[in-house]
Amino acid sequence: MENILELRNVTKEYKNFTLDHVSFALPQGMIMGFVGENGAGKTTTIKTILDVVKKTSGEIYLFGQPIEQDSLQMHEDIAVVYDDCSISSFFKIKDVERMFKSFYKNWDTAKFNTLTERFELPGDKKISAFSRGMKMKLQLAIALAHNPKLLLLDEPTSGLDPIIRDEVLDMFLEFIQDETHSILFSSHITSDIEKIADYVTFIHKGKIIFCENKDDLLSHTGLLKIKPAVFEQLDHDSCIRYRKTLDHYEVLIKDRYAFQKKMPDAVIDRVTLDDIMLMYVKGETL
Amino acid sequence: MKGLIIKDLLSSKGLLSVLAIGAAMMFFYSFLGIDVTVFVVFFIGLLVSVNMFEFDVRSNWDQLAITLPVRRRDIVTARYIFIGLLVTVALIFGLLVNFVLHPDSNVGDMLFENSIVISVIFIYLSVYMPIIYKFGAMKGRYISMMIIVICAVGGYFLSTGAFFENTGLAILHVLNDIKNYLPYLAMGLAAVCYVMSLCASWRIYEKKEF
Repeated sequence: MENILELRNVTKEYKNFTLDHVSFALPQGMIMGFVGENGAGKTTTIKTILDVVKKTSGEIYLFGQPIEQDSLQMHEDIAVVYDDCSISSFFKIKDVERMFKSFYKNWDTAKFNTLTERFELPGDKKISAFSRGMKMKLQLAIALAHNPKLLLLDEPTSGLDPIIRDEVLDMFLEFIQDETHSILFSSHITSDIEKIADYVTFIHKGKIIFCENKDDLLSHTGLLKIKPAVFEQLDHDSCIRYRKTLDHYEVLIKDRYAFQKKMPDAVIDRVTLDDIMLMYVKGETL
Repeated sequence: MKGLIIKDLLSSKGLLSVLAIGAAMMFFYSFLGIDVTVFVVFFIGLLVSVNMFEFDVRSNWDQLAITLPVRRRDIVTARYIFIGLLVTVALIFGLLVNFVLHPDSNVGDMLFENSIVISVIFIYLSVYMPIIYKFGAMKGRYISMMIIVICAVGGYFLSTGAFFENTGLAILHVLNDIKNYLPYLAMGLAAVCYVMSLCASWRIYEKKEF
């Protein structure tokens, strides 16, 4: 399986923050959820991929080509959705269509109109009158209307009501049915990532903590709650992080099936992505 | 590139009221016999260029523009073309208004004066636009105002006193000798400045981060 996007040791230095040797790869036909707390470096990573900010070092490959080649075809095949709407607030839908049609060779007016109708976007209002959710839907319509191969989405479902969010996630699943398409999306709504992502990449303070298959991650990782006395005897190799509460310890276990064999009496709970992220951020290493 | 110019054209809808005021002023004062073409063209050129940049900053347009299938240079070039065309169209409009309302005006004099005017405007824009690209719309505006003040103050002092009596008068004599060629020289200089400004803006924008 070819990688549609690959980052190798990408570093971007700012005064008070560093994106530190970020490496991950997104295969064709896959969806990658990109998670991390606020300020972790998600948006900076996406902007570095797009060359909106210049990386300090490292390599980025899009469709197998280094981004320095910066071919216009590369940009034809990418669509970006940012957290905020980057289109003039004086525009109406028809202005948006007229503008973007002239940028993209593969622009599909019928598809754009279908999407804007499906999203119930008003054609007679300026974007300044749109709600946050409507602006996000407009960006998604634009992103999908020129038939890209790669979607880079920064919080694409934030501000959307649950019904539309569900529809949008279904659209993303439709999008990758053609196995040459891929999606990288960052989100705080980890339930969305759990629903549709194939891979999860977790970034914390500019560093990649893990990049794993989502199903494997959620099925193998477990949360163990134990008394202090038992905690002292734990096998450190099985444990990723721990947190001390008032009367017990919570321990994030790497492989709960293997651990269960060693400690048959242990009660190991399934985890969500939120649990995993919380333990990595708030927990300590053994 | 066409898409970028379309985008600026559509964005300038936000300035329709300003442009309408400018056109109305032009009509009104021309009707009174006062030629305000210079003022209005300068007003439109400066206001539109500042506002186009401010619109872009407000909507974070550049972070999206760079992801489109256009080169960074094209983004800059399109802006230069749009502003240049707008100023030129404003000037032509002003000349037509003056000519229609005052058909007995000396066309030669009008063209002479306004060719100098448009050259000065383009030279000003040539300095102004790279400053905006480098420092942003807000800071760029203050820096360009400072440049105008410095030039005005400097011009005042140069036009008085010993400098004027020696060098200044000599310059005026030379200008008088070449006055027939002055419009062409001015427009040529403006064209060179505008192209150099474009190249400077390319270099700034290619390294810029958003």
